[in-house]
Amino acid sequence: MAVFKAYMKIARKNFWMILMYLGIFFAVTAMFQMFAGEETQDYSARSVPVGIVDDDRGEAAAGLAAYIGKTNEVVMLDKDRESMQEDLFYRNVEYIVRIPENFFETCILGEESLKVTSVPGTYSGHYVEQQIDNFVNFARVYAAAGFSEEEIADAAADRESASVELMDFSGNEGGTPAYVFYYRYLPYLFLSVLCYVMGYILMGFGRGSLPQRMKASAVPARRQSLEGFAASGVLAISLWLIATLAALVLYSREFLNNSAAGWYLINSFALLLVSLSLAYFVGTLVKTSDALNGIVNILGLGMCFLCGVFVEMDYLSGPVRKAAQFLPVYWYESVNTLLARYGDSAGNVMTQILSGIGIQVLFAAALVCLTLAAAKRKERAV
Amino acid sequence: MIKIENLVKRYGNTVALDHFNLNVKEGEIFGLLGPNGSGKTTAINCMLALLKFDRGSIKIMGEEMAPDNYRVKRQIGIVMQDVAVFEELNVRDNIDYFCSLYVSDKGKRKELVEEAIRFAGLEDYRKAYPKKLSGGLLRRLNIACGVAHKPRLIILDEPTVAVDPQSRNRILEGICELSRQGSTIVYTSHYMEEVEQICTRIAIMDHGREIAVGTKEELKSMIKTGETVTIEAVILAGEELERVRELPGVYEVRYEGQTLTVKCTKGKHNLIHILNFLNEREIPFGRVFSELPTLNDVFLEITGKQLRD
Repeated sequence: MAVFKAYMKIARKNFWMILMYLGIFFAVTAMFQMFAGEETQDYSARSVPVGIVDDDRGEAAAGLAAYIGKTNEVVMLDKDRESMQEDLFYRNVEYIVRIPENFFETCILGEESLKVTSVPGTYSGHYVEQQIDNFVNFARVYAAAGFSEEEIADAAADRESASVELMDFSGNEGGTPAYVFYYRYLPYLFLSVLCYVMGYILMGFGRGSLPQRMKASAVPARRQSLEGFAASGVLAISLWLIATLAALVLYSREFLNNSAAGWYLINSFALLLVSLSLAYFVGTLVKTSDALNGIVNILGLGMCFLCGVFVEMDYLSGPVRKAAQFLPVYWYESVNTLLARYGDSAGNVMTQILSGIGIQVLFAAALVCLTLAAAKRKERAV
Repeated sequence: MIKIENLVKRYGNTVALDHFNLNVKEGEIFGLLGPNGSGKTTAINCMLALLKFDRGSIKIMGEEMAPDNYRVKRQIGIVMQDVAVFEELNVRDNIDYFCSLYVSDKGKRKELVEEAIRFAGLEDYRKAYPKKLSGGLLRRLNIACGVAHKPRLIILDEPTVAVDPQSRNRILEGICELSRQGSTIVYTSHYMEEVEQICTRIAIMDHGREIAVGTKEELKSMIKTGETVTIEAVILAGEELERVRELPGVYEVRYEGQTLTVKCTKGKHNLIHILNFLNEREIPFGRVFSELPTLNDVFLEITGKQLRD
C-alpha cells in the first residue's frame, strides 16, 4: 500500500488548508443564514406621514383621504407653499398630495393626474402613489358603472384589503430551513478542498521523472492506480462524511424530519463525484503550486458565482443561467432548489430531481474520460 | 547480469540505439561513457522496460526484461538522471516511500531506511524537505531513494550532474561501497574522470553504438597514444619543429602560442628524447608536463572528436 500511504501523507500536509476551507464554509453559511433569516419575517403595511391639501372638499376627495388614511398617518395641510416646504423639510410629512378642485370630474372621470410632492431620496412616495392609483382605478370602475361620487366614497371606505393565501409545498411553513443554505454552499467546500488536495497530490506524483521512476518500480502500474483511486476515494468520502455529520449535528431534528433529507445526501454525493473527477483533471494538467492555487480559485469561486451558490439562482440573468447549464454545479443547485421548494412533496418533481443528479454523474464520467485522455497524452510526451 | 544483443531503438527517423550490445558481469561497476545524445539514457530506459525497442533482446539476471517482469524489477535499484523525489515528503519519508515499493516489511524497511540515510550522509536532514536541500544533498537523496532496498543491480544514470566536488566525491565513494556490498552497478556519465576513477569495465558509446569495451587499461591500450608531453614557453623555428617530429616515438606535434604538444607512442624515454633535443639546441623552455592517455584520448582517436564536444 505504498502509493495509498503516500497519498495520505501528502494529504495530511494540507490539514491546515482543509481546516481553513472548512472554516470559511461554515462562516459563509452562518453569515448568509443570518441575513436570510430576516427575509422570512411577515409582511406588514408601512405607515407614511402623508400631507393632503384638499382644494376640492367633495365626497370623492374625502374618500381618497380616508383611503390613504387607512394605512398612513394623514395630516391635512393648508394651501401655503412655505408651510408645506417646512413640513417636508422637518419630515412632518414625507409626501404631499394636492387634491384639485373638481377632483371627481378632472381626475376620476377625466384623465388628469394628482399633483404630488415627496421628500427626495425616499421610496415612501412610490408606496403612497400605488395607493392613490388603486383608489383612482377603483373609483373609475365604479364611476363607469354609473355610481355617484358619494356611493364611490362609501364603497372605497367599505373596501377591504384582499387576503392572499400562499401555498407552501415544502412543509417548512413558508420559511427556508437553515440546512437549505448549508447544502447550497456545499459546492464551495467540495470543489475547493478536493481540487486543492487532490491537485497537490497528483501534481507531486506527476512531477519530473517521477512517473518514469514509478513505472520502473516493483509495484505494477495497475496496482499503483488502484491504490491512488482508493486513497482519493477515502479522502473524498471522508470530506462528504464530515459535511454530512456537520449537517446532522447542526440541523439534526429539522433536517431528519424532512422527507427529502435522503435526496439532499444523494445530491451532495453526486456533487462529490463531480468534484473528485474535476480534481483529477486539474491534478493531471497542473504543474506548479501557484497554477494550482489560481485554478482552484477560478473553478471554485467561478462556479459558485455562476451557478447559484453565492448568488441565488433567481437573481441570475437569463444568459448567465443558460451558460451555467454547462457547469455541473448548476444542476446540483437546481436539484437543491427543487428540494427546498417542494420538500415533503419532492415526489412530484422526482423526474427533474433524478435528471439533475444524472446530469451531474454524466459530468463526472465526462471529466474522467478527459482526465484519461490527458494522462495518456502526457505519458506519450515523456 | 545484463546481456543486451543487437538492440535497435528509433525515434522516427532518428536511430537512438544502433545494434547496441552490452554484457555486464555480476559484481562489476560498469561504466557507460559517451557524449550527450550518444544513447546512454535510451539504453538505460530500454533496460528498465520504460521504452519499447524495435529490435534485439535484453536479458537481466538471466530473464528477458519486460514491463511486467516484477521479479527482476524487484532486484533493481534506479537512480534517474533527473532527481525523482517528492517535494511534498521529507527526506526520511521519501526514502521510506521508495523503499516501500520493494520492501513491504515495516521493521525491515525501518532499518534499511536508516542505513540509506547514513549511507548518503543525510543524518542531519531527516526532516528536511527537498526544496531546502542543496543540489549535492538532493542528488544524495536521489541515490538513497534508489538504493535503500539493497538491490542486486543498481543503475545510475548520470547521478553527479550539477553537483559540487565534495558531494561528487561522496557519491563516488558511496558507489564503490555499494559495489563492495555486492551490488552490480551500471554507471552512465559523460564525465570521463569519474568513470575512470570508479569503473572496473567501461563501454564507450557514440551514435547509439558501443565503440569500445574493456577495462580502462584495455581501452587505453587500443590506441596509439602512449604519452602526451606538453612544454610551455618554448620558441621554435620551423626547421626545429620538423626535427621534433622526427624524434623516436613521436607521431603528432602541435605548436600553438609557444606551447608545444607532442604525442608519443607507447615506449620508454619519450620525455628524455624531447628534453635532450631542446638542450642540445640550447632552446629555453618553461614548464613541462607528461600525461598518460585518458579516455578522452581513446574517444578522440576512435571517433575523431572530443568526448566533451
